[in-house]
Amino acid sequence: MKGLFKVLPPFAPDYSGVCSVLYNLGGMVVVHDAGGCTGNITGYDEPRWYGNDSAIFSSELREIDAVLGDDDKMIKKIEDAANVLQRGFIALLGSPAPMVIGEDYQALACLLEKRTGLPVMAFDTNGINYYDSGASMAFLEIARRFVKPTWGTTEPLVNIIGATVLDLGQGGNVRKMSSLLKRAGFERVLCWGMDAGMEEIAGSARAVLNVVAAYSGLAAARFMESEYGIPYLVGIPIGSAPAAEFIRSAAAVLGKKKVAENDIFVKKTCDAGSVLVIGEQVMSNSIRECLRMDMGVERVDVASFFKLNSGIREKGDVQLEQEADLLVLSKEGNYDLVVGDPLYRNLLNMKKGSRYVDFPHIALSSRLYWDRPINFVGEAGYKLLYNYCQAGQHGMNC
Amino acid sequence: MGEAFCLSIGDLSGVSDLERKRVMPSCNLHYCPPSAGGWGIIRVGLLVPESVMLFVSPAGCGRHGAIAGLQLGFKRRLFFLHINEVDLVTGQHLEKVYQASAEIFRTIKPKAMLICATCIDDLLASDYEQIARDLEIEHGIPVRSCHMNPIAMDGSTPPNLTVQQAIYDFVPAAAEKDGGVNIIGSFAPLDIDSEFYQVILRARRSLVRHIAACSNLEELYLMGKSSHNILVKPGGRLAVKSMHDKLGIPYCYAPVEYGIESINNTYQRLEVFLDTDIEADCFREEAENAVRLYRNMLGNISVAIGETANASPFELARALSVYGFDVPYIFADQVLDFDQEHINWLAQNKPDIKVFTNVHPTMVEFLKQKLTVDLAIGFDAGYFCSGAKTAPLSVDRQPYGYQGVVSLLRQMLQALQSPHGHREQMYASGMVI
Repeated sequence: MKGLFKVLPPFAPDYSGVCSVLYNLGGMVVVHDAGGCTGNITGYDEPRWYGNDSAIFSSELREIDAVLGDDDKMIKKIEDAANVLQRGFIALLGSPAPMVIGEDYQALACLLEKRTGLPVMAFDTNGINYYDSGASMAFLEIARRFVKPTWGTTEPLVNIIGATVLDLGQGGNVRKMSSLLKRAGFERVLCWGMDAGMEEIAGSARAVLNVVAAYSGLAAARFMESEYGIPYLVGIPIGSAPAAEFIRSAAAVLGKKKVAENDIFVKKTCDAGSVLVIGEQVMSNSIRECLRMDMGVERVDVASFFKLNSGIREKGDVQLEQEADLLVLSKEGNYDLVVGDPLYRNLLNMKKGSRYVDFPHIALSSRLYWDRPINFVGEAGYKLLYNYCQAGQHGMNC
Repeated sequence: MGEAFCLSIGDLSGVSDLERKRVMPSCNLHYCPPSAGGWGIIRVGLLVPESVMLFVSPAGCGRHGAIAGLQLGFKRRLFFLHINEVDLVTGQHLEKVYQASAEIFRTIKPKAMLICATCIDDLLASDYEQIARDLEIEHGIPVRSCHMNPIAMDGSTPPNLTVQQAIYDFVPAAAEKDGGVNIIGSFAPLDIDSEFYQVILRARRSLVRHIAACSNLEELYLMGKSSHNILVKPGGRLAVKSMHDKLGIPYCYAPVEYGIESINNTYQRLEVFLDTDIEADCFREEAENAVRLYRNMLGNISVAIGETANASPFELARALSVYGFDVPYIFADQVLDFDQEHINWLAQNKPDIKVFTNVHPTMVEFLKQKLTVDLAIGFDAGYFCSGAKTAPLSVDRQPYGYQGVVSLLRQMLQALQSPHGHREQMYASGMVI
């Protein structure tokens, strides 16, 4: 039945996606909710929350305020907090309850800007959509509102857009991506949503390349391309050959012909003839590249409950809507190997002898695995996958 | 950096503040520290043995409960019906509840079911009680509705209370009473080493029942045969009122306490309520000896007390002060009527105590204040006093009576002697807001 989920927990919702992007930017994020949605974010979708002073608050919406449409109360709460906490901007996020009463967040943002003198972003999130759409909204809004034109001035700078902890975790993967880009010749790497501050992002139109690390970075990268003429690369350099290709492509933008150390890499064959990768689209595509380029796997399909962009979608990729879709796909696809979050495993109906690679995705499994990050950028990704691709090697049977 | 909002204990005492229900003044944004939360509606609802829950909401609402369910092992009894904008506009989601229930029944055969609605259905005034009645007829098992609706948190029927009302609503009226005693309000049965069992057995020769000790629905139904309800935690107050009205079971508030005198007074009230003599003096003596022993072992330590501890933070602060410990800080959000007596005592005798609220927006920068104490009781106190050792005193176990005092002191000593990582311990507990 559509909408009934018997096995999987709910995915990270859109408001968590927005928060993940804005988390380290020095603003004040207010979720217009009764408290539970904010608890979802801070307790289950934000591994950086413990011990951090990022300002994420609930508006503490109550029935009477919703019924009476008493927005003044919320505005006063935000104004008071803004006066006490010195933060650079305000973000106002929606949740299911105000959606029912048709809250106009843009209007509230205009009012708040006048009252506080701070830039205010409004996000019409509702807890129905998933984190990827929320993160996409947030990256795009940052690009629109905060990136300043540079009138053609550029520098060897690259932005990574789309990297959030919900997709890439807290581990060293983003740092490793940055180091690969530096090897390609870039002097500075700004990773939006991770380590880059708002001031740095404001100057990010000086970049000569954007790297899109998740579906959520696509809209912002396209905006930057049309507005500032910055080209973009889509993908995470998972595996040895893809990392070398990544460095080459990035260096080419700088007019450099960079030869990566791993160019001498010898492709190893893999006895998995067909593989299903379940997860976020750009991550899954990147795993596919590794399986193809490093191991010569012929058939790799991607399936996702999250949005699939048609421009980077291949024939055979599947948009999942309900649990039964995955059950049917896994049975009919006759796959030798499946790569995905451990929680998908319980949904599969696989042939005997097939194997499963645990690839935790915080947007699904939340805190269950976030303290056990895996390294997958560069050769580490190849090693991780290759071990599972060999029959009888480390693989967990489905 | 600004100072975090705080009150002196004296600010909370006195006649003018008797109506104060929250430490934080109204009209503030709400901070949600990592230490926020408790069992949550889903976990409490699933205390009904052999039951399943269908959670009807936008996808995001059930995430924390589901992940906690995976951590703690109750997810297999939990199903989600994700609703979208079209459902909400057309009301289709209510029809889908019937379809989803039918599909669940095709998959497994639960013996009881809870349908859980959320804030949006509150605003839409959806009638889940009627749906539950329909499903009960359709499937021939008891079905009840409950609500995870924090939007109603400040009203007379907040979700943490109504969910307890819902789970005890499965208990039917019994034609004959057997003199048993139900413990209501706690999520765990009273600790097996509590003297309560002995004193009740001696006084009445009757059974002590608790929902979490029921291994099947039939055992839960036996709670209807009990003649008395003892409310040990305030979260069960709507439940006991409802059981009084529907099942004719009288109730008495006999809260979990850690002060020797308070416990003595509570046993005296129970004597009147149960109309029997309670012999507990020997247990009192044991507890007094333990206090002396542990006080020597623990030394002159300072203790911060939080609201997530299995206690009234004010009563606990009073008890520990009486035992000779220094309690400089309390972290609390609510002030219950029960607390007022203890607040007044603390204001008189320990006026320097500072009271912080977990939820004030200024708490976001609180860690920079670097408060130092030796021991924190409760995950919230442990989080905000980050250098302290933490005794969670969690609600997963239920200390009670004089033995509860010994249990508390033992946990304090354990925390000091073999501390655990606060973050790991806290996340492992599966707390949800």
